[in-house]
Amino acid sequence: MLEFKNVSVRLTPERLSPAFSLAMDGGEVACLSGGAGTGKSLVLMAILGLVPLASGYITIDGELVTPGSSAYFRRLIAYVPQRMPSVRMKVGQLFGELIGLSVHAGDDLDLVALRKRWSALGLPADLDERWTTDVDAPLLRTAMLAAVPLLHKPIVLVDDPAPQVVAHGALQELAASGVEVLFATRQDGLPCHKIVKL
Amino acid sequence: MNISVLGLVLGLLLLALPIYIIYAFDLRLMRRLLKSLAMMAVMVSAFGAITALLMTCNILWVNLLVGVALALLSSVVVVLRSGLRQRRLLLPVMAASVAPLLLVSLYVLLLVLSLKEPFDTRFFIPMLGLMVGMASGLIARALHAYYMGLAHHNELYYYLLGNGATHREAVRHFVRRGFQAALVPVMRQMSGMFLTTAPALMLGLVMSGVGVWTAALLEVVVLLAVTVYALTTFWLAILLSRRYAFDEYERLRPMKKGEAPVAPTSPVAPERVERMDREE
Repeated sequence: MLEFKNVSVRLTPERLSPAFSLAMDGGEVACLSGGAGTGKSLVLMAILGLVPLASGYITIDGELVTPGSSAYFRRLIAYVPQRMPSVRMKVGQLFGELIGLSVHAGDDLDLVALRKRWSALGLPADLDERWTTDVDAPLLRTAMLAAVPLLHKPIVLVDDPAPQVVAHGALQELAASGVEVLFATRQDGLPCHKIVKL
Repeated sequence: MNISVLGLVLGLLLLALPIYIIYAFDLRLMRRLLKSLAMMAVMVSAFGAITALLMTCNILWVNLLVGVALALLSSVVVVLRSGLRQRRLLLPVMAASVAPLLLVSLYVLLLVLSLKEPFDTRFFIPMLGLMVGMASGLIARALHAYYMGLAHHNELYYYLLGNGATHREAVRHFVRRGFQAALVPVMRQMSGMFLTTAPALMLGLVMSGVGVWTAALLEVVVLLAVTVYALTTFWLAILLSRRYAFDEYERLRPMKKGEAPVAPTSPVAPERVERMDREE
Protein backbone atom coordinates (compact mmCIF):
# COMPACT_ATOMS: atom_id res chain seq x y z
CA MET A 1 0.00 0.00 0.00
CA LEU A 2 1.24 3.42 -1.00
CA GLU A 3 0.67 6.10 1.64
CA PHE A 4 1.38 9.81 1.71
CA LYS A 5 1.31 11.83 4.94
CA ASN A 6 1.39 15.66 4.67
CA VAL A 7 3.60 15.35 1.60
CA SER A 8 4.87 18.40 -0.23
CA VAL A 9 7.81 19.04 -2.54
CA ARG A 10 9.87 22.14 -3.14
CA LEU A 11 8.90 23.86 -6.39
CA THR A 12 11.26 26.84 -6.12
CA PRO A 13 13.56 28.00 -3.29
CA GLU A 14 10.61 30.02 -1.97
CA ARG A 15 7.59 27.88 -2.86
CA LEU A 16 6.31 24.47 -1.80
CA SER A 17 3.55 22.39 -3.35
CA PRO A 18 0.36 22.07 -1.29
CA ALA A 19 0.71 19.33 1.32
CA PHE A 20 -1.58 16.34 0.92
CA SER A 21 -2.27 12.99 2.50
CA LEU A 22 -3.47 9.91 0.65
CA ALA A 23 -3.66 6.18 1.23
CA MET A 24 -3.95 3.79 -1.68
CA ASP A 25 -4.69 0.09 -1.90
CA GLY A 26 -4.19 -2.47 -4.60
CA GLY A 27 -6.74 -2.14 -7.39
CA GLU A 28 -7.16 1.62 -6.94
CA VAL A 29 -6.47 4.35 -9.45
CA ALA A 30 -5.54 7.71 -7.97
CA CYS A 31 -4.70 10.86 -9.82
CA LEU A 32 -2.61 13.91 -8.99
CA SER A 33 -4.21 16.74 -10.84
CA GLY A 34 -2.97 20.28 -11.27
CA GLY A 35 -1.62 22.80 -13.72
CA ALA A 36 1.95 23.12 -14.95
CA GLY A 37 4.51 23.66 -12.20
CA THR A 38 2.35 22.41 -9.32
CA GLY A 39 4.73 19.59 -8.42
CA LYS A 40 2.91 16.54 -9.80
CA SER A 41 5.98 15.10 -11.50
CA LEU A 42 8.15 15.88 -8.49
CA VAL A 43 5.76 13.94 -6.24
CA LEU A 44 6.09 10.91 -8.53
CA MET A 45 9.87 11.29 -8.42
CA ALA A 46 9.70 11.54 -4.63
CA ILE A 47 7.90 8.17 -4.52
CA LEU A 48 10.84 6.81 -6.50
CA GLY A 49 13.22 8.36 -3.98
CA LEU A 50 14.83 10.52 -6.65
CA VAL A 51 13.78 13.86 -5.21
CA PRO A 52 13.64 14.96 -1.53
CA LEU A 53 10.38 15.80 0.18
CA ALA A 54 9.95 19.26 1.66
CA SER A 55 7.55 17.90 4.28
CA GLY A 56 5.85 14.71 5.35
CA TYR A 57 6.71 11.18 4.35
CA ILE A 58 5.81 8.44 1.92
CA THR A 59 5.55 4.79 2.87
CA ILE A 60 5.19 1.65 0.81
CA ASP A 61 3.71 -1.27 2.75
CA GLY A 62 4.44 0.63 5.97
CA GLU A 63 8.13 1.21 5.21
CA LEU A 64 9.46 4.73 4.74
CA VAL A 65 10.76 5.70 1.32
CA THR A 66 14.22 7.09 1.97
CA PRO A 67 17.39 7.41 -0.13
CA GLY A 68 18.56 4.18 1.47
CA SER A 69 15.39 2.15 0.82
CA SER A 70 14.32 3.69 -2.49
CA ALA A 71 16.45 1.41 -4.67
CA TYR A 72 14.57 -1.58 -3.24
CA PHE A 73 11.15 0.05 -3.68
CA ARG A 74 11.88 1.05 -7.28
CA ARG A 75 12.04 -2.65 -8.08
CA LEU A 76 8.34 -2.80 -7.19
CA ILE A 77 7.38 0.12 -9.39
CA ALA A 78 6.71 0.58 -13.10
CA TYR A 79 7.21 4.17 -14.20
CA VAL A 80 6.20 6.04 -17.33
CA PRO A 81 7.80 9.50 -17.35
CA GLN A 82 6.52 12.73 -18.81
CA ARG A 83 9.73 13.55 -20.67
CA MET A 84 10.69 11.01 -23.27
CA PRO A 85 14.34 10.00 -23.74
CA SER A 86 16.09 12.48 -25.98
CA VAL A 87 19.04 10.22 -26.77
CA ARG A 88 19.11 9.04 -30.34
CA MET A 89 18.57 5.29 -30.28
CA LYS A 90 16.22 2.79 -31.87
CA VAL A 91 12.95 2.31 -30.00
CA GLY A 92 13.70 -1.41 -29.94
CA GLN A 93 17.03 -0.65 -28.27
CA LEU A 94 15.31 1.56 -25.68
CA PHE A 95 12.94 -1.22 -24.73
CA GLY A 96 15.81 -3.69 -24.90
CA GLU A 97 17.45 -1.66 -22.11
CA LEU A 98 14.22 -1.94 -20.09
CA ILE A 99 13.81 -5.65 -20.76
CA GLY A 100 17.46 -6.35 -19.96
CA LEU A 101 17.32 -4.93 -16.43
CA SER A 102 18.24 -7.42 -13.72
CA VAL A 103 14.93 -6.72 -11.98
CA HIS A 104 13.20 -8.33 -14.97
CA ALA A 105 15.44 -11.39 -15.12
CA GLY A 106 13.30 -14.51 -15.13
CA ASP A 107 10.22 -12.64 -16.43
CA ASP A 108 8.73 -13.75 -19.73
CA LEU A 109 9.40 -10.31 -21.06
CA ASP A 110 10.87 -9.84 -24.52
CA LEU A 111 10.43 -7.75 -27.62
CA VAL A 112 8.11 -10.33 -29.18
CA ALA A 113 5.64 -10.01 -26.29
CA LEU A 114 6.01 -6.26 -26.44
CA ARG A 115 5.30 -6.12 -30.19
CA LYS A 116 2.11 -8.14 -29.61
CA ARG A 117 0.95 -5.56 -27.03
CA TRP A 118 1.77 -2.73 -29.40
CA SER A 119 -0.11 -4.42 -32.19
CA ALA A 120 -3.16 -4.90 -29.93
CA LEU A 121 -3.12 -1.15 -29.20
CA GLY A 122 -2.83 -0.26 -32.86
CA LEU A 123 0.74 1.02 -32.68
CA PRO A 124 2.89 0.84 -35.87
CA ALA A 125 4.39 -2.57 -36.59
CA ASP A 126 7.82 -1.09 -37.34
CA LEU A 127 7.94 1.01 -34.17
CA ASP A 128 10.99 -0.78 -32.76
CA GLU A 129 12.97 0.08 -35.90
CA ARG A 130 12.32 3.79 -35.63
CA TRP A 131 14.63 6.26 -33.91
CA THR A 132 13.37 7.69 -30.61
CA THR A 133 14.02 11.20 -31.89
CA ASP A 134 11.78 10.55 -34.92
CA VAL A 135 8.83 9.25 -32.89
CA ASP A 136 6.48 11.75 -31.30
CA ALA A 137 6.24 11.80 -27.51
CA PRO A 138 2.59 10.62 -27.17
CA LEU A 139 3.32 7.57 -29.34
CA LEU A 140 6.45 6.69 -27.38
CA ARG A 141 4.60 7.19 -24.11
CA THR A 142 1.82 4.88 -25.29
CA ALA A 143 4.44 2.29 -26.19
CA MET A 144 5.89 2.60 -22.67
CA LEU A 145 2.42 2.27 -21.18
CA ALA A 146 1.83 -0.84 -23.27
CA ALA A 147 4.93 -2.41 -21.72
CA VAL A 148 3.77 -1.84 -18.13
CA PRO A 149 1.50 -4.90 -17.74
CA LEU A 150 4.38 -7.11 -18.88
CA LEU A 151 6.57 -5.82 -16.02
CA HIS A 152 4.24 -7.31 -13.34
CA LYS A 153 4.84 -4.57 -10.79
CA PRO A 154 2.39 -3.93 -7.90
CA ILE A 155 2.69 -0.13 -8.21
CA VAL A 156 2.46 1.88 -11.43
CA LEU A 157 3.30 5.57 -11.72
CA VAL A 158 2.40 7.40 -14.93
CA ASP A 159 3.29 11.01 -15.54
CA ASP A 160 0.90 12.72 -17.94
CA PRO A 161 -0.60 9.70 -19.76
CA ALA A 162 -1.52 10.44 -23.36
CA PRO A 163 -3.42 9.87 -25.59
CA GLN A 164 -5.94 9.94 -22.80
CA VAL A 165 -8.51 7.43 -24.00
CA VAL A 166 -6.08 4.64 -24.73
CA ALA A 167 -4.06 5.41 -21.60
CA HIS A 168 -6.99 5.41 -19.20
CA GLY A 169 -8.33 2.16 -20.55
CA ALA A 170 -4.92 0.63 -19.95
CA LEU A 171 -4.72 2.06 -16.42
CA GLN A 172 -8.18 0.79 -15.47
CA GLU A 173 -7.20 -2.63 -16.81
CA LEU A 174 -4.10 -2.59 -14.62
CA ALA A 175 -6.09 -1.62 -11.53
CA ALA A 176 -8.54 -4.42 -12.24
CA SER A 177 -5.63 -6.84 -11.88
CA GLY A 178 -4.89 -5.54 -8.38
CA VAL A 179 -2.19 -3.00 -9.19
CA GLU A 180 -2.02 0.41 -7.46
CA VAL A 181 -2.01 3.06 -10.16
CA LEU A 182 -1.10 6.67 -9.58
CA PHE A 183 -1.01 9.08 -12.48
CA ALA A 184 -0.30 12.77 -12.79
CA THR A 185 -2.39 14.85 -15.15
CA ARG A 186 -3.29 18.42 -15.98
CA GLN A 187 -6.82 17.45 -16.88
CA ASP A 188 -9.77 17.30 -14.49
CA GLY A 189 -12.64 14.87 -14.67
CA LEU A 190 -10.64 11.75 -15.55
CA PRO A 191 -11.86 8.44 -14.13
CA CYS A 192 -10.10 7.51 -10.91
CA HIS A 193 -11.03 6.33 -7.41
CA LYS A 194 -9.20 9.13 -5.61
CA ILE A 195 -8.11 12.59 -6.72
CA VAL A 196 -5.53 14.91 -5.20
CA LYS A 197 -5.66 18.45 -6.55
CA LEU A 198 -2.33 20.29 -6.34
CA MET B 1 73.25 10.49 -33.84
CA ASN B 2 73.85 14.08 -32.69
CA ILE B 3 72.71 17.58 -33.66
CA SER B 4 75.51 20.18 -33.85
CA VAL B 5 75.01 23.88 -33.27
CA LEU B 6 74.98 24.41 -37.02
CA GLY B 7 72.46 21.61 -37.34
CA LEU B 8 70.28 23.30 -34.71
CA VAL B 9 70.40 26.60 -36.54
CA LEU B 10 69.58 24.93 -39.84
CA GLY B 11 66.71 23.09 -38.17
CA LEU B 12 65.28 26.28 -36.73
CA LEU B 13 65.61 27.90 -40.17
CA LEU B 14 62.70 25.69 -41.19
CA LEU B 15 60.54 28.16 -39.28
CA ALA B 16 61.23 30.70 -41.99
CA LEU B 17 58.56 29.30 -44.32
CA PRO B 18 55.64 29.21 -41.86
CA ILE B 19 56.60 32.68 -40.62
CA TYR B 20 56.73 33.97 -44.17
CA ILE B 21 53.33 32.45 -44.97
CA ILE B 22 51.76 33.91 -41.82
CA TYR B 23 53.16 37.32 -42.75
CA ALA B 24 52.52 37.20 -46.50
CA PHE B 25 48.95 35.94 -46.22
CA ASP B 26 48.15 38.06 -43.18
CA LEU B 27 47.02 35.02 -41.20
CA ARG B 28 47.28 36.93 -37.89
CA LEU B 29 48.78 33.92 -36.21
CA MET B 30 52.23 35.29 -35.44
CA ARG B 31 51.61 35.85 -31.78
CA ARG B 32 50.02 32.47 -31.40
CA LEU B 33 52.87 30.79 -33.26
CA LEU B 34 55.48 32.45 -31.07
CA LYS B 35 53.54 31.57 -27.94
CA SER B 36 53.18 27.94 -29.05
CA LEU B 37 56.88 27.75 -29.94
CA ALA B 38 57.81 29.15 -26.55
CA MET B 39 55.53 26.68 -24.76
CA MET B 40 56.96 23.81 -26.81
CA ALA B 41 60.52 24.90 -26.08
CA VAL B 42 59.83 25.13 -22.35
CA MET B 43 58.02 21.80 -22.17
CA VAL B 44 60.51 19.89 -24.33
CA SER B 45 63.44 21.41 -22.43
CA ALA B 46 61.89 20.62 -19.07
CA PHE B 47 61.01 17.07 -20.06
CA GLY B 48 64.44 16.62 -21.63
CA ALA B 49 66.22 17.95 -18.57
CA ILE B 50 64.23 15.78 -16.22
CA THR B 51 64.75 12.71 -18.39
CA ALA B 52 68.50 13.40 -18.64
CA LEU B 53 68.70 13.72 -14.86
CA LEU B 54 66.70 10.54 -14.36
CA MET B 55 68.88 8.66 -16.82
CA THR B 56 71.94 9.79 -14.91
CA CYS B 57 70.49 8.56 -11.61
CA ASN B 58 68.56 5.57 -12.94
CA ILE B 59 67.11 4.69 -9.51
CA LEU B 60 64.07 2.41 -9.36
CA TRP B 61 62.07 4.20 -6.67
CA VAL B 62 62.73 7.58 -8.30
CA ASN B 63 61.45 6.22 -11.62
CA LEU B 64 58.34 4.88 -9.92
CA LEU B 65 57.75 8.22 -8.22
CA VAL B 66 58.09 9.94 -11.57
CA GLY B 67 55.59 7.48 -13.01
CA VAL B 68 53.09 8.34 -10.31
CA ALA B 69 53.76 12.05 -10.79
CA LEU B 70 53.19 11.71 -14.54
CA ALA B 71 49.88 9.97 -13.92
CA LEU B 72 48.79 12.68 -11.49
CA LEU B 73 49.86 15.49 -13.79
CA SER B 74 48.13 13.95 -16.77
CA SER B 75 44.97 13.65 -14.65
CA VAL B 76 44.94 17.42 -14.25
CA VAL B 77 45.29 17.78 -18.01
CA VAL B 78 42.53 15.22 -18.59
CA VAL B 79 40.04 16.99 -16.34
CA LEU B 80 40.93 20.38 -17.81
CA ARG B 81 40.51 19.11 -21.36
CA SER B 82 37.21 17.43 -20.49
CA GLY B 83 35.76 20.80 -19.49
CA LEU B 84 34.35 19.28 -16.31
CA ARG B 85 34.64 20.38 -12.71
CA GLN B 86 38.07 19.72 -11.20
CA ARG B 87 36.56 19.52 -7.73
CA ARG B 88 34.38 16.54 -8.63
CA LEU B 89 36.69 14.63 -10.89
CA LEU B 90 40.31 15.31 -10.14
CA LEU B 91 40.78 12.90 -7.25
CA PRO B 92 38.89 10.01 -8.88
CA VAL B 93 40.76 10.46 -12.18
CA MET B 94 44.08 10.59 -10.33
CA ALA B 95 43.25 7.45 -8.39
CA ALA B 96 42.02 5.74 -11.55
CA SER B 97 45.06 6.52 -13.70
CA VAL B 98 48.04 5.43 -11.62
CA ALA B 99 47.56 1.65 -11.56
CA PRO B 100 46.56 1.21 -15.23
CA LEU B 101 49.46 3.40 -16.36
CA LEU B 102 52.04 1.40 -14.46
CA LEU B 103 50.49 -1.99 -15.21
CA VAL B 104 49.98 -1.48 -18.92
CA SER B 105 53.43 0.08 -19.35
CA LEU B 106 55.07 -2.81 -17.52
CA TYR B 107 53.04 -5.28 -19.57
CA VAL B 108 54.55 -3.86 -22.76
CA LEU B 109 58.06 -3.51 -21.40
CA LEU B 110 58.22 -6.87 -19.63
CA LEU B 111 56.10 -9.17 -21.72
CA VAL B 112 56.05 -7.68 -25.21
CA LEU B 113 59.57 -6.32 -25.36
CA SER B 114 60.94 -8.92 -22.93
CA LEU B 115 63.19 -6.35 -21.33
CA LYS B 116 65.34 -7.61 -18.48
CA GLU B 117 65.32 -4.16 -16.89
CA PRO B 118 61.88 -2.69 -17.55
CA PHE B 119 62.37 0.00 -14.90
CA ASP B 120 65.50 1.32 -16.63
CA THR B 121 64.93 5.03 -17.17
CA ARG B 122 65.58 4.93 -20.91
CA PHE B 123 62.65 2.54 -21.37
CA PHE B 124 60.35 3.23 -18.46
CA ILE B 125 60.04 7.00 -18.59
CA PRO B 126 59.55 7.30 -22.39
CA MET B 127 56.96 4.52 -22.24
CA LEU B 128 55.02 6.35 -19.52
CA GLY B 129 55.36 9.62 -21.43
CA LEU B 130 53.97 8.04 -24.60
CA MET B 131 51.05 6.54 -22.73
CA VAL B 132 49.95 9.68 -20.89
CA GLY B 133 50.62 11.92 -23.88
CA MET B 134 48.57 9.84 -26.29
CA ALA B 135 45.78 8.84 -23.88
CA SER B 136 44.89 12.07 -22.11
CA GLY B 137 42.79 13.35 -25.00
CA LEU B 138 40.94 10.04 -25.28
CA ILE B 139 40.14 9.90 -21.56
CA ALA B 140 39.00 13.54 -21.61
CA ARG B 141 36.66 12.85 -24.55
CA ALA B 142 35.24 9.78 -22.85
CA LEU B 143 34.56 11.60 -19.58
CA HIS B 144 32.99 14.54 -21.39
CA ALA B 145 30.73 12.27 -23.44
CA TYR B 146 29.66 10.33 -20.34
CA TYR B 147 28.87 13.26 -18.04
CA MET B 148 27.44 15.59 -20.66
CA GLY B 149 25.29 12.76 -21.94
CA LEU B 150 23.92 12.25 -18.44
CA ALA B 151 23.47 15.97 -17.88
CA HIS B 152 21.62 16.72 -21.10
CA HIS B 153 19.85 13.42 -21.83
CA ASN B 154 18.97 12.31 -18.32
CA GLU B 155 15.43 11.23 -19.28
CA LEU B 156 16.72 7.75 -20.18
CA TYR B 157 18.61 7.56 -16.90
CA TYR B 158 15.52 8.41 -14.85
CA TYR B 159 13.27 6.16 -16.92
CA LEU B 160 15.47 3.15 -16.23
CA LEU B 161 16.03 4.06 -12.57
CA GLY B 162 12.29 4.54 -12.11
CA ASN B 163 11.70 1.03 -13.46
CA GLY B 164 14.05 -0.65 -11.02
CA ALA B 165 17.43 -0.32 -12.72
CA THR B 166 20.53 -0.29 -10.57
CA HIS B 167 22.75 2.75 -10.94
CA ARG B 168 25.12 0.76 -13.14
CA GLU B 169 22.28 -0.33 -15.42
CA ALA B 170 20.85 3.17 -15.63
CA VAL B 171 24.14 4.71 -16.77
CA ARG B 172 25.11 1.88 -19.13
CA HIS B 173 24.08 3.72 -22.29
CA PHE B 174 26.19 6.71 -21.27
CA VAL B 175 29.15 4.51 -20.37
CA ARG B 176 28.83 3.07 -23.88
CA ARG B 177 28.92 6.58 -25.31
CA GLY B 178 32.03 7.31 -23.28
CA PHE B 179 33.79 4.21 -24.59
CA GLN B 180 32.74 5.13 -28.13
CA ALA B 181 34.13 8.63 -27.67
CA ALA B 182 37.49 7.15 -26.72
CA LEU B 183 37.58 4.40 -29.33
CA VAL B 184 36.50 6.29 -32.46
CA PRO B 185 39.64 8.51 -32.66
CA VAL B 186 41.85 5.49 -32.03
CA MET B 187 40.19 3.53 -34.80
CA ARG B 188 40.55 6.51 -37.11
CA GLN B 189 44.24 6.65 -36.30
CA MET B 190 44.63 2.90 -36.84
CA SER B 191 42.90 2.88 -40.21
CA GLY B 192 44.66 6.06 -41.31
CA MET B 193 48.13 4.81 -40.41
CA PHE B 194 50.51 5.79 -43.26
CA LEU B 195 47.54 7.14 -45.23
CA THR B 196 46.62 10.14 -43.13
CA THR B 197 48.86 9.94 -40.05
CA ALA B 198 52.56 9.15 -39.88
CA PRO B 199 53.64 6.37 -37.55
CA ALA B 200 55.99 8.79 -35.78
CA LEU B 201 57.09 6.31 -33.14
CA MET B 202 58.06 3.66 -35.70
CA LEU B 203 59.96 6.11 -37.88
CA GLY B 204 61.72 7.64 -34.86
CA LEU B 205 62.78 4.22 -33.62
CA VAL B 206 64.09 3.25 -37.05
CA MET B 207 66.13 6.46 -37.14
CA SER B 208 67.55 5.56 -33.73
CA GLY B 209 68.77 2.21 -34.99
CA VAL B 210 65.95 -0.09 -33.83
CA GLY B 211 65.11 -2.86 -36.30
CA VAL B 212 62.34 -2.01 -38.73
CA TRP B 213 60.02 -4.86 -37.77
CA THR B 214 60.53 -4.28 -34.06
CA ALA B 215 59.75 -0.60 -34.59
CA ALA B 216 56.65 -1.41 -36.64
CA LEU B 217 55.38 -3.86 -34.03
CA LEU B 218 56.05 -1.38 -31.25
CA GLU B 219 54.04 1.28 -33.08
CA VAL B 220 51.05 -1.06 -33.11
CA VAL B 221 51.55 -2.34 -29.57
CA VAL B 222 51.90 1.14 -28.09
CA LEU B 223 48.68 2.25 -29.78
CA LEU B 224 46.89 -0.79 -28.36
CA ALA B 225 48.41 -0.16 -24.93
CA VAL B 226 47.29 3.46 -25.03
CA THR B 227 43.77 2.29 -25.88
CA VAL B 228 43.72 -0.18 -23.00
CA TYR B 229 45.07 2.47 -20.60
CA ALA B 230 42.51 5.06 -21.73
CA LEU B 231 39.52 2.72 -21.56
CA THR B 232 40.55 1.30 -18.17
CA THR B 233 41.20 4.73 -16.67
CA PHE B 234 37.85 6.04 -17.93
CA TRP B 235 35.96 3.10 -16.50
CA LEU B 236 37.74 3.27 -13.14
CA ALA B 237 37.30 7.05 -13.01
CA ILE B 238 33.54 6.90 -13.41
CA LEU B 239 33.33 4.12 -10.80
CA LEU B 240 35.42 6.09 -8.30
CA SER B 241 33.73 9.42 -9.03
CA ARG B 242 30.22 8.14 -8.37
CA ARG B 243 30.04 9.43 -4.81
CA TYR B 244 31.32 12.84 -5.91
CA ALA B 245 29.23 13.08 -9.05
CA PHE B 246 25.86 11.86 -7.76
CA ASP B 247 23.99 12.92 -4.62
CA GLU B 248 22.06 10.66 -2.24
CA TYR B 249 18.99 10.89 -4.50
CA GLU B 250 21.00 9.54 -7.46
CA ARG B 251 20.91 12.98 -9.12
CA LEU B 252 23.93 14.11 -11.11
CA ARG B 253 25.57 17.10 -9.47
CA PRO B 254 26.59 20.04 -11.72
CA MET B 255 29.63 18.87 -13.65
CA LYS B 256 30.52 22.04 -15.51
CA LYS B 257 31.52 25.36 -14.01
CA GLY B 258 28.61 27.74 -13.77
CA GLU B 259 26.07 24.96 -14.22
CA ALA B 260 23.07 24.97 -11.90
CA PRO B 261 21.70 21.67 -10.55
CA VAL B 262 19.20 20.18 -13.00
CA ALA B 263 16.05 18.90 -11.34
CA PRO B 264 14.85 15.67 -12.90
CA THR B 265 11.68 17.19 -14.35
CA SER B 266 12.91 20.62 -15.32
CA PRO B 267 13.06 21.42 -19.05
CA VAL B 268 16.31 20.44 -20.71
CA ALA B 269 18.18 23.21 -22.53
CA PRO B 270 18.43 22.53 -26.27
CA GLU B 271 21.72 20.78 -26.89
CA ARG B 272 23.50 19.38 -29.87
CA VAL B 273 22.92 15.65 -29.88
CA GLU B 274 26.24 13.87 -30.13
CA ARG B 275 25.88 11.58 -33.10
CA MET B 276 28.59 9.13 -32.14
CA ASP B 277 26.95 6.52 -34.36
CA ARG B 278 27.45 8.78 -37.38
CA GLU B 279 31.11 9.23 -36.54
CA GLU B 280 31.55 5.53 -37.09
